[in-house]
Amino acid sequence: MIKASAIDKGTFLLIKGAPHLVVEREFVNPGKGSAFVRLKLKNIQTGLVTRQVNKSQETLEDVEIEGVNAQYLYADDDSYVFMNSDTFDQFNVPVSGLEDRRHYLIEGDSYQVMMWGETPLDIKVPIKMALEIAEAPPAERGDTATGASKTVTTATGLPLKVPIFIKEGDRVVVNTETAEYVERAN
Amino acid sequence: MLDGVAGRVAARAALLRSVRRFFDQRGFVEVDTPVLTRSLIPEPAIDVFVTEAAHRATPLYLVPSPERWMKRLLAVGCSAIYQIGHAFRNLEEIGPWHADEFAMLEWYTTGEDWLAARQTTLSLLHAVTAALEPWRDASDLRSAPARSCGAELSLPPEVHTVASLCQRALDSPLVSLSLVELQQVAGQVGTEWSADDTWEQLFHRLFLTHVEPTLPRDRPVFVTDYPSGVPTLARAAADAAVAERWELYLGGVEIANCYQEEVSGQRLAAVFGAEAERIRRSHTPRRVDWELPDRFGDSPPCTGVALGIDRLLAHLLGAPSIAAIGYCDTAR
Repeated sequence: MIKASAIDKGTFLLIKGAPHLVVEREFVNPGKGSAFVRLKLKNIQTGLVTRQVNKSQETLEDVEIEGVNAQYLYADDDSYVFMNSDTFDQFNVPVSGLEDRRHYLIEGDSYQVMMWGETPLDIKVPIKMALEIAEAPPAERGDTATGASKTVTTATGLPLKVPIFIKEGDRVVVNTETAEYVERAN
Repeated sequence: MLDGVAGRVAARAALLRSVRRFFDQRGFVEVDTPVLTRSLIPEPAIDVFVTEAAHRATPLYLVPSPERWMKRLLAVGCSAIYQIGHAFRNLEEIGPWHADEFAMLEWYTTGEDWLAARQTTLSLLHAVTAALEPWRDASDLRSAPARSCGAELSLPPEVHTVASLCQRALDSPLVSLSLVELQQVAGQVGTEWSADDTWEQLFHRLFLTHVEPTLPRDRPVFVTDYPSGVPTLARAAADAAVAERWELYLGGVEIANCYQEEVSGQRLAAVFGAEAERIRRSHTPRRVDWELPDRFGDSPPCTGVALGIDRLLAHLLGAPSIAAIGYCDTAR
């Protein structure tokens, strides 16, 4: 069981027997009322999105999940294909609900896939990852004001706002939670 | 340009200057009341910070708002006062729009009622917006996805009663229903509730789930006539089911609220009495200023408005959170 105030984005809850991913959570405390947590939930099995509001002191049932080490192989139309690093079995992780992970999956790299029994629920990516820049417009002349930035694209397809000195082929560190540039990687 | 600490310092200073100029020009007097207090007004939904002096047993509280002090000033004849100060709420968590400590503007006047206060509030927002013009393109704040920005103050505000919003979203006005009737509505719209929900809690479950997310975000929205089932010190309207109270939303976030203040000593004493038991059972029991109904009661009619300075500044600069406009490293 988990207290509503402890639930975070990415938590899995069991709602009426079905696993749900918390895709958005917001603490709301109306000016003159009790404290609540507003949740946007996605049913992992049906993809159906629902919203609910819980008092922050209420408890909900969370899902017991287990991390499995797996190598990312490739993506097809609707799933990411992994190989279990212990058993070498291949398995599919549905893209639905994990669309933003595609920017952080590099073929051949190892990740933790979070499983609920036999069902993959999530792919853990590091908070900071070094990604290669595939496309970068050249800096414009005279554009030297402090803080000037431009938008580039990583090899994984993530559009990124970076300082103007970043060039094609550079590797940059990205915060995967905010999809923001952190620094140039050495 | 608003880059780095210096820019945030300058923008905040410009906002504070413009607020003071606005009220000074309208004949308000700035007041500066204590942050430490020995007693509070009864607001069971607010958890307070409690501290103590080294050599005294009586607890001291950090004010969750300056309301108690300002009402005592009104009671002795101050008629138009404002204050920019810090307020403290012992919240369970910090989020984009919540912090333990925040800057609050609060003003009271006997010179206009709660309906006229809407126009005054909009005029204040226009004055502040003009003062912040040099920082509107704050590149380092706008880089993150901004949830709150977008309410254009130049667009005419929308004004909706709670009952009309609930009627539209839930096919019931909610405000005059009994707790059992609220439970029936919740059942009909598939909102789960808990047997220990108070009227206020179930109302807010329904309001926060079905109504608040649908408020327009592109312009100011006044939500008015809150149900009397949400206990406050606002005066009851002629229709006793609602209180003379509004909240101003910008970009879906509460920025300010206003009461036509209850000034009947008898009714204030009744509200304080009714809250006494709830206070004793609340998470942080606290001492109540039991003298306030006597002191403030039967004062001339007055209006009080409270406005979150940090939320307003974040909104006007397009920042994604109140933390983004701060300039002190409060994490250390």
